[in-house]
Amino acid sequence: MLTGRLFFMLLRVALGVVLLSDVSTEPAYTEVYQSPVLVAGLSPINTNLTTSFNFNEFAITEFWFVYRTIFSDTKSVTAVDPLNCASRDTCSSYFMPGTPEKLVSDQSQPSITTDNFTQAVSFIQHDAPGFQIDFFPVDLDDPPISLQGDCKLYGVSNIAIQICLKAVNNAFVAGKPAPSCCFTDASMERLPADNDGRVCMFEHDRLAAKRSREYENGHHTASSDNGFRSLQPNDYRHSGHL
Amino acid sequence: MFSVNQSEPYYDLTAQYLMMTALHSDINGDGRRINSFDIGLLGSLLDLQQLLAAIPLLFNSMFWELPVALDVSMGKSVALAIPRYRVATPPMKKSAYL
Repeated sequence: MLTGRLFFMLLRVALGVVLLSDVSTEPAYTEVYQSPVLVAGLSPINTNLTTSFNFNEFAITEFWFVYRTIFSDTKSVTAVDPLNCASRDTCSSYFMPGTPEKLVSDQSQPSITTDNFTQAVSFIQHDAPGFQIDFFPVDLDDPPISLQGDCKLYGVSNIAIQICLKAVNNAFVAGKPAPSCCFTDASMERLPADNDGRVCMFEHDRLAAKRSREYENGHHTASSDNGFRSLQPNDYRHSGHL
Repeated sequence: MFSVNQSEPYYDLTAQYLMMTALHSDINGDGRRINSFDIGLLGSLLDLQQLLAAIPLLFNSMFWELPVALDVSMGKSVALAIPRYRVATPPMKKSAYL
């Protein structure tokens, strides 16, 4: 009887220590097989692609394939801590490491079959470049946006969209004009504007500079400061079934 | 991608035109007005972010499986790994006296 009571007293103390202590877990990865690759990650933006054969046709298809689900496609994009602002409360940041399907492996290496490394369901990409995009709000008037210089109108006679994009230091400011200012001198076409005046420049968003990141067991640290097109090698660990 | 030729017959059935109409709806938030859960109409902002994020992914030689410039370091190795969890090390706290 006394032994049982003593046991429960000690158990209560032990549970109290565990519950009150700040214990958290983090993912860790044990590598079981490594192989050299010829090309992996994402390369710098290549605008020459627009001149390639039938790019427009294919680009539209691919654009729709990725556009609406790009942030929820965990094979292509993962949410990370922002580099250019203080917290996730005001920012949203995403890292795009490229996908395993696109890497070019070294064909001289032995093939991995379904019988090999069946426990290894995570894929680690070493020293490959990627893109990090930080979105954070900017002021209405700073930096100023010029309709003539920074905004472009796309569309036809009955429907159009106007998007403003401006390079500011190592970032881009992007958004759409308010309905009251949806004119351009060049075309004098007017966007189908909302009558409630709801849409305004507060929807500006900044596509900010990216820096490389080194992913190490769940912790990541920023390294050199690079512009939008600059890339640095990094390790990216993609957890999931291959 | 946005080039719509209105002089063509059935231009309103082309992929370019349909993309324009869908983007117009997304960016202006037209399709979201009936969604009462979209507080602050942040869904429209998310669409704008998706549009911008798709650009580096789409205009990328890797995406189209094309050759990459030789002066760009494009990865050295890949590895298969077994995922686990371990007790996290608490972050170092800065001293108030520093």
